[in-house]
Amino acid sequence: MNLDPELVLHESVQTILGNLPCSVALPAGCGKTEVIAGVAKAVAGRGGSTLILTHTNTGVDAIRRRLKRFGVATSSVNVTTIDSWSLRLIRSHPQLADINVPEAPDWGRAGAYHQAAARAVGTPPIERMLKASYQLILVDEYQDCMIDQHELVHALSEVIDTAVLGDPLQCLLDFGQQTPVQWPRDVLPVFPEVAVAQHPWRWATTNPELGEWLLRIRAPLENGEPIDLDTAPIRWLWSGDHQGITRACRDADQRTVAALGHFRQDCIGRAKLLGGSYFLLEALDEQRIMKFCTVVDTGESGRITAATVEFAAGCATHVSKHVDRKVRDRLHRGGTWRPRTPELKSAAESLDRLAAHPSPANVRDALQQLVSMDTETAVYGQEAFTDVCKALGFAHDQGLTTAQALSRIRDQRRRSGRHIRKRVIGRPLLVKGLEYEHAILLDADRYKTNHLYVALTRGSRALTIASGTRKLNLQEPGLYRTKHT
Amino acid sequence: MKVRYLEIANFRGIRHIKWHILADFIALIGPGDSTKTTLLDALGLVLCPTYRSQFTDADFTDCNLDMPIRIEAAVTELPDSIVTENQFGHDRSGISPDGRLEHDSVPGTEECLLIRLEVDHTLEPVWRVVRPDAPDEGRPISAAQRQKLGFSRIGDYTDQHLKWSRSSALTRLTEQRSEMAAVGLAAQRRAREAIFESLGGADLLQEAADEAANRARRLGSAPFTRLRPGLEPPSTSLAQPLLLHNESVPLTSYGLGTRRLTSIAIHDPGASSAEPQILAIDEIEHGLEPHRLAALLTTLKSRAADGHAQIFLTTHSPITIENLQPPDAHVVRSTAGITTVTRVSESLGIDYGGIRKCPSALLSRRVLVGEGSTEFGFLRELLNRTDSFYGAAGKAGSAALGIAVVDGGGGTSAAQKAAIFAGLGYTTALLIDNDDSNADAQVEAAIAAGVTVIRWEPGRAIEDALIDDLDAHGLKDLIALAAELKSESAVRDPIQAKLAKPCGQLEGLDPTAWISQTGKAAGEILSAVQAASCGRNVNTGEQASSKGWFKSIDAGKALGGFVWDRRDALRGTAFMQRMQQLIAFAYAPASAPENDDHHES
Repeated sequence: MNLDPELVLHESVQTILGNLPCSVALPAGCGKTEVIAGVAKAVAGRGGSTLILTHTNTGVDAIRRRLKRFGVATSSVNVTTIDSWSLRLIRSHPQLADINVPEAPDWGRAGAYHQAAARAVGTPPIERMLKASYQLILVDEYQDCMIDQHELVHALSEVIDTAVLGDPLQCLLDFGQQTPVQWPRDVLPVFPEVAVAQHPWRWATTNPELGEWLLRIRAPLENGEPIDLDTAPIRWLWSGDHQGITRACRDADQRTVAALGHFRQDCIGRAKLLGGSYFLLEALDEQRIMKFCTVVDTGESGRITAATVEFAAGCATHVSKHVDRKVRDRLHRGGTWRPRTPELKSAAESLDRLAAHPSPANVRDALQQLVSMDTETAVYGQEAFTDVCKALGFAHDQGLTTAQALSRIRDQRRRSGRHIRKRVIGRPLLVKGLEYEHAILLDADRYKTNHLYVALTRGSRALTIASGTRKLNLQEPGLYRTKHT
Repeated sequence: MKVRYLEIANFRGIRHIKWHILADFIALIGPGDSTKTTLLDALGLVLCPTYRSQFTDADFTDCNLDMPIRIEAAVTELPDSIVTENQFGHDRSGISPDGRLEHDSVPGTEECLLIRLEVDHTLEPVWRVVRPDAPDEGRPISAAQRQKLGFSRIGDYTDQHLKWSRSSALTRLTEQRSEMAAVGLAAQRRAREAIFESLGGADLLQEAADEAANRARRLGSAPFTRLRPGLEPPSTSLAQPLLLHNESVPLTSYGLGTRRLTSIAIHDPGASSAEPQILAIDEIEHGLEPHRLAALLTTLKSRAADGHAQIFLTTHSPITIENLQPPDAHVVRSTAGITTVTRVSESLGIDYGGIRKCPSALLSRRVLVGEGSTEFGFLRELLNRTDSFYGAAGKAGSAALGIAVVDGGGGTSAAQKAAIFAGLGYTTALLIDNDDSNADAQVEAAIAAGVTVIRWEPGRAIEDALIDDLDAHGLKDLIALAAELKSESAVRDPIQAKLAKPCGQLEGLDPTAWISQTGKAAGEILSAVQAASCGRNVNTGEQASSKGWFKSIDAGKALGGFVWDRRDALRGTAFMQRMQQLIAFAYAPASAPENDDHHES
């Protein structure tokens, strides 16, 4: 196909600006950020300003970079997250929003915050501010909106022309307790869909064939039909070939690689096999990590010492070999560990200090001693390990409980999004919105539709799929179809 | 933009004021020490569009640096460019019609920016946009942002408005600001060229340059090829050279009135701006003839009425006051550092309840209301005589003490007028007759409003009271004075008419002789004389009328002179007691807290 990207973009921009308010469904890698920057540039060209809302700071950064490349002056755009925009609004207008937000916002009440923001948006003073500030509002990653966020955007669209962009097929549930927006039920009645050209720009120079294939499989995915991998431009492995899969991960030589499993335990097992060469990502609400922090906060010496060893053993190889279950039970009862090998002595001493003074600082010290006990020890649960060490440090420095500190670290990541690392292992939810050169699906049969689509679209150069057969059968039909075909 | 609220603490003579501003045309009126110019200064500082504000220790009340200067102004009718998200959209508060500030612009309030200027002992001014009842410090507001509030001050330094200087109104009128700098720079460059060309090399400047070159060569400094005189290279940091001219005469050379009027014209919001401007003019009459002043006031009032501007001005001119409507006039008073601004009530009508006829009273500190023409003339003369007497003794006269005498225009009206002055904060006294019970209710009201009422015995007018206390000699002189003012028959005939028949014919002007001429008792004659002196008809129950002897300002003055000349003979009488009361009121030393504004000229 011979397409002039600039022409395609121009047409998309005109279509959107000519049909406000509207929604735009663009598949992964089809230049959504480009379209956003293009629309903002067109508005700026007329002397107007655009408010661009998204979900994470990573998203904000990506859009800002693109705007800069497009030469859009920072004075004619405001790029921020829905959460921080809402928070600023309701904090500065507590009477209009009818809410009082504590100094450290309680993001467990995010829904209430968004409702309050929507309330404020409906008042004349805020309407005036919005009209004085913007000609257009764009909301990115709309499939990730919670229903309260959608209501807020709906309220905004009553004041300022609004376009929302997203991909319903990439909607993955993140926070269990809140309701996500449903494209046909919630979005389309408010923001009628406009069609723009779908061209897989992400793969245009790296692997155009893969890009085209990923577009082609959207229809079967949406309809719950099986995906034929025989003709696909991918590398296929049998999911029973564990060694082969591990080897494929080891040998992947692209600059960035994402190995994607299904359950946490699968990922941990594979990460262990890979001996720490892959960074193990954890969910933001992972219970086990939080549980360990709560134990630290109890101040019960024996319990903390045993839990510390257990946590280290869950994050690094060889720890459980040196400090076996018998030793851990002894530690739990307040006993000590006297290793025979002299090189383990410093780890044992750190546990003695911990048992004597079960402080967060001593927990951190013991953890660090344990994971560097011998030259063989390797940390594979990096994210969990570094988060906990950081939380212990905060707890020590800022007088928080370890659990509070961990919550802050997680809130921070929730808002900022993850950084790209060279090699990661995790679940599709954890790499949503991130782009790698090579994606390896460790067990593709078990995904639900949207998780599968997100996993398939993470690699820009190469895709490796391990499954039972060369035909992928979906676990459940597409939940978030835009159209009934 | 409009200012709807101003609160000041510890600024010069104002220890504190909370002023809820309702009007768009505000003429600040008050005596010279009432801190009205300080109010304009405070407004100018908090809305100041430049960084040039210099503070000194003397700007703190009582020079006490422990308490910071704090000036807060609530500004409404904000331009769109201020209410955007990246400006102050998130920092707006609300102000209700009764002046209550709300954190947000909730229903029933108007949106406003609450701007606070604070200066502590470091003398470093800090401007912030704050919210009422908010614990945080607010957000800084820059000079460029304050400039958007559209405040201009026409004060002593009007000349800056005639130049294209930073943030001057002329600069704002200039569409392309870069143009302005370019024109100036180009002119400076051409001047530099011209100097090089005209200084051929033969003059004294060049000789000095040559000598400098020789000496430099001997000392082995740089190998100069051609040392010569020239102008400094131009730069934008040089003083702004562009100035308004008429033909080749700079406007700064024109008279004060023309310069001020032109400055005001340049600021005239009707001429250019869509946003309402705030204009503060100190001593609006400064340099202007009455007709130009009247024309200017008319224009400014129409701008305010159109909603194009909010005008603050101070005045010391009765002509300005005569040109104002009651709600324009805001009386400023300062007591013990607490400044109050009272708007003259609209309900007083076009004449401000007669106050407009005595504009100078509004500029005074104490007001002495005389019931009618008689009392007005009488009091004027009494003060004149007392002034001369005190002047000879080196004491301050009534003018220096800021005393104004006002003609009350008759019994009920006089009492009302006195009550109005008292209500506006003036120390007020009323001299009123007691022969008309119709005025009693108003007199009671005046007393309740704080007026010092000086009234004769029941049933007595000023003439009655005086005659009561005069001896036969004095009475004869008074009748002679009345005959001089009117005519012998005009004095004698009404007395004759008031005497019961049968009655002998009155002759001459000696009341003692009248007793034998008429065969009437002395008491009956005295009553007839008193009735005639006030123009009262005893038979018809008629009140004092213009037929009385002293019913004009001049006659009142003559009466005042008469009393003054006989003050020794009258000493100790009921009449003289009241005179002493009046003198004591008029010449009371100004109480200390009233004159603590050392900044006002």
